[in-house]
Amino acid sequence: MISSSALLLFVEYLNFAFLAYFAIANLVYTLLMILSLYGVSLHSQYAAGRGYTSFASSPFAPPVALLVPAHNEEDGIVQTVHSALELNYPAKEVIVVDDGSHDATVDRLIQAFELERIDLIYRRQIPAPVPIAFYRSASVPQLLVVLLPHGGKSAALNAAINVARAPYVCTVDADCVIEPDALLRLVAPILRSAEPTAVSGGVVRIANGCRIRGGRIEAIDLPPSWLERCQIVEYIRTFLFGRPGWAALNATFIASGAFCLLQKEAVIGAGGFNEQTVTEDIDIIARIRRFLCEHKRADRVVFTTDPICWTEAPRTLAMLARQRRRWQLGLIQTVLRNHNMVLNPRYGTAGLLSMPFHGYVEGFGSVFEALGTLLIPIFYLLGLLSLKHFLAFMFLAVGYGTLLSIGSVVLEEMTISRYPTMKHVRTLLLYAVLENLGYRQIITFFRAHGVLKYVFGRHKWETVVHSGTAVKS
Amino acid sequence: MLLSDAVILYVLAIGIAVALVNCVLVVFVLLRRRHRQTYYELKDQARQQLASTVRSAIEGSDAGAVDRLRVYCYPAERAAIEELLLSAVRPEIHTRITGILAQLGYVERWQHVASLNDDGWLAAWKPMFKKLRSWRIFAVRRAIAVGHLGRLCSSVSVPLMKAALLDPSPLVLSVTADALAASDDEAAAPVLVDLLQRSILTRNLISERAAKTALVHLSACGEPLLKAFLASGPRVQVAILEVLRELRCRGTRLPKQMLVTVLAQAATSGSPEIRSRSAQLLRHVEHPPKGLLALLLEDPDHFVRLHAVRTRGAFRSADHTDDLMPHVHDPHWRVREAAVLALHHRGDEGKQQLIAILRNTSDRFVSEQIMEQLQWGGILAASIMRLDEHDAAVDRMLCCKAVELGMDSLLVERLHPGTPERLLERLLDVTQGSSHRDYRSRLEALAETNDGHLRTRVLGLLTTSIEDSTGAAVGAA
Repeated sequence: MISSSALLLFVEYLNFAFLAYFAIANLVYTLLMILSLYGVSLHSQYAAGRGYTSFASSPFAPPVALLVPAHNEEDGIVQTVHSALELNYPAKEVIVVDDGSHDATVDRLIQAFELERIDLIYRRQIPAPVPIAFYRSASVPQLLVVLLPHGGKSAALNAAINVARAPYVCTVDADCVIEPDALLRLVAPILRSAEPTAVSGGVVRIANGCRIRGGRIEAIDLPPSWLERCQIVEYIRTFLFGRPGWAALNATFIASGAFCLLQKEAVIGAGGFNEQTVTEDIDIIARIRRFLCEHKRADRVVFTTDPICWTEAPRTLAMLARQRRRWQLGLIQTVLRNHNMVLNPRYGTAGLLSMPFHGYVEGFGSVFEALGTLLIPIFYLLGLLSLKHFLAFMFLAVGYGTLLSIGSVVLEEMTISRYPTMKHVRTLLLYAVLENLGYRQIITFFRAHGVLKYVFGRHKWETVVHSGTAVKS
Repeated sequence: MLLSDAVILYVLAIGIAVALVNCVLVVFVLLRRRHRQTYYELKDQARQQLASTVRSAIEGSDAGAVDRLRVYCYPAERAAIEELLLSAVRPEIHTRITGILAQLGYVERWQHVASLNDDGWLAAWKPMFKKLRSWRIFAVRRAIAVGHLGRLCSSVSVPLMKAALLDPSPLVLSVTADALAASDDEAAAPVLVDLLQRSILTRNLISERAAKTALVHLSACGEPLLKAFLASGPRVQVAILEVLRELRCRGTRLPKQMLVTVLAQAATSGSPEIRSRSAQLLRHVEHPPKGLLALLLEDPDHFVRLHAVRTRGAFRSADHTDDLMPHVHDPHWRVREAAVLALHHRGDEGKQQLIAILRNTSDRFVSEQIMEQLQWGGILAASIMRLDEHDAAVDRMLCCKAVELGMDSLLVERLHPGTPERLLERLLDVTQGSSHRDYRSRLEALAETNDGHLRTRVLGLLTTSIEDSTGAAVGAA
């Protein structure tokens, strides 16, 4: 029988641990937000005034291959390819890899672009499945469609890299809409800097509620549901202060695969995309960093807040749960696979700072966070915790998050400012508060579930079904 | 207790402070949005209101127009006037617009923001804070101001840009380079050439690409570049050759004798990077020095040969065809590919030569390269359609070769009931024994939909196909 004093002591220690966890996490987020102010606001000021017009017609802009892996994307694939082909960039090729679709993805492409079958010489630089067929269009010579047997997104990307001719590759999700100048802005760090760049990550925004026509965002609006609105605030927070903050420390560890530029040579050197992971975009950055450090190359890994790619967010809790479980699983997989980089000064600030933080605070820490979110209110209700301790926890776990979310909306307003009306701003501010009252806690449980799936060996890719909530015309 | 009451109270106090900060942030962002909306509304109004006044000032038809514009001092109005003036810039009135901008105080303000007219103690402290000033956070406003100054007429902007080149920030320097290029002034050429050299040698000044792009946009830089080439080291020479190549691509005339000297030096350089760029540049020279291209075609470095082959391919004279033939068998695939492509683009003679090589060669890599190009060019598709004609020996050879190489998708695709029977029979002849993954399923579909002798033939082929694959499996076992 446990004595009441022992129980109280246990609860006190547990509460202290929870408070310490949230205090550390919030401190890091605050630092990232401060660092982001440096990176984001002035960069946007410069970008708005300056533009990239001189490079839009530069003969020295490096050719880029846009890689579009597609699996059962019949609804949006033609639109995505149009969006990619119409990007304002002097030298590009578009490679669509059909990953064993059993819907009309390929048929729609053949029809839309008058594709003809061709047998190409396939040179394998990275292990990848052998393509079943190639299709090319006489009227759109920069488009190539590759058919593969179903092998997953990583295999599709590796096959695309094998056929790409350009020195840089840009991964694009098949359900994304890319802004016309986005590629130019994504390549800008390479064009402007005297130092070589291996990775350039871009911003992903949520297209739910927006009107899309002909592969372009015609009107930006907010979706009606609270779930999608909370995700919008979350994405703003991630892409406006999370990643720029890490980029300011040269510690970028995650760049969204929905729109990310990679140096082809670095990807090949790193062994290509890993087919054993469920988040190939996180994994490839870690592998590229490892490759660069081990070969003593000073290539940069940068993140730019200018370029924007719009994607569809899950509309239901079930789909959102799948997505977040997968992301968490992939994060844990990547950190553990590259555990010798963690806290290793050889790998710079990425190894010393962002990998341990992402792995142990955001990764495994999500289980601890979920436990705290569950237990602390229970302890209080059972009278095992004083009101002061409970309020302190609530502040650190919930209240401080409102500062981070509102801060990110402020950053959005001061910089990119994509939402056109005052009503949008008021709604975003409201959801910056509401997001912390339930949504973040739900996400924490999904993430914790993802970690437990890893621990108990269930590493399966969970498909997220898109319902096309952006209004398309 | 682990956590004393003081600590808890401290945390709670921070919580209250955070809540207050949240309130301040919310009010701030709402007010800011309101302010911006008001600003843009005022700016639009000012544009409409002042358009005619600005036009009069530019045309000089109203002597008091500039004085009237001077009255408007709100930021939205100033921004509207600035936009109206800069959007009206044309070569014939550029000087006048620059004068108006100067009279209205814009030039002085931009110079001040760009720190170009600092004197006395201000000029004295700048070197002390050079490192800080090179940081982006402190350079953005200067870069924007320099960008504005770069849009003035060249007689004003070029001296200002030369002053701006002393700025320690790479961001400001790249903007300056773009502005110098846009000025299209001969005086800017040596400055940009010097900037290119510095960017390559110092490495953290301005990106090499930015400097080269600026030079390409400035058409008057040919002669300074050629002179600089002869006096520079290898790394700079590579960059200069690339710029010269692009200038020639755009039709910029370069002093011929100097160009020939540069090419002669570059083609015999010890650096393959330089030699390959010289091959690229030769492509854009009307009457290249004899022997240089032949030298580059035999270069030991594959990258040089690649560009030499491409250059040779760009010369349309038929008597150069023989130069390309040996490179179809080059050990490096990219050179082979370029040679095949160049021959293909030579017209009928080139295509016939490719077909002749394909017939006679036993090199699988060469055969695959040629077959790929024949597909690209539609030649294989055309050959398939001619299979049932009387004199189709060459077409049959091509189709059989495609099957042999495993590049027979176009043929197998046509094995369907919709294909005319005579053509189908010829297709069945040439695709016999195909290892294509769809071959058997196509035959099965044909067998189901056809009657008579064709069906018998297809069934026979199916049987043969099964036996062959069984035999192969047994052999493998």
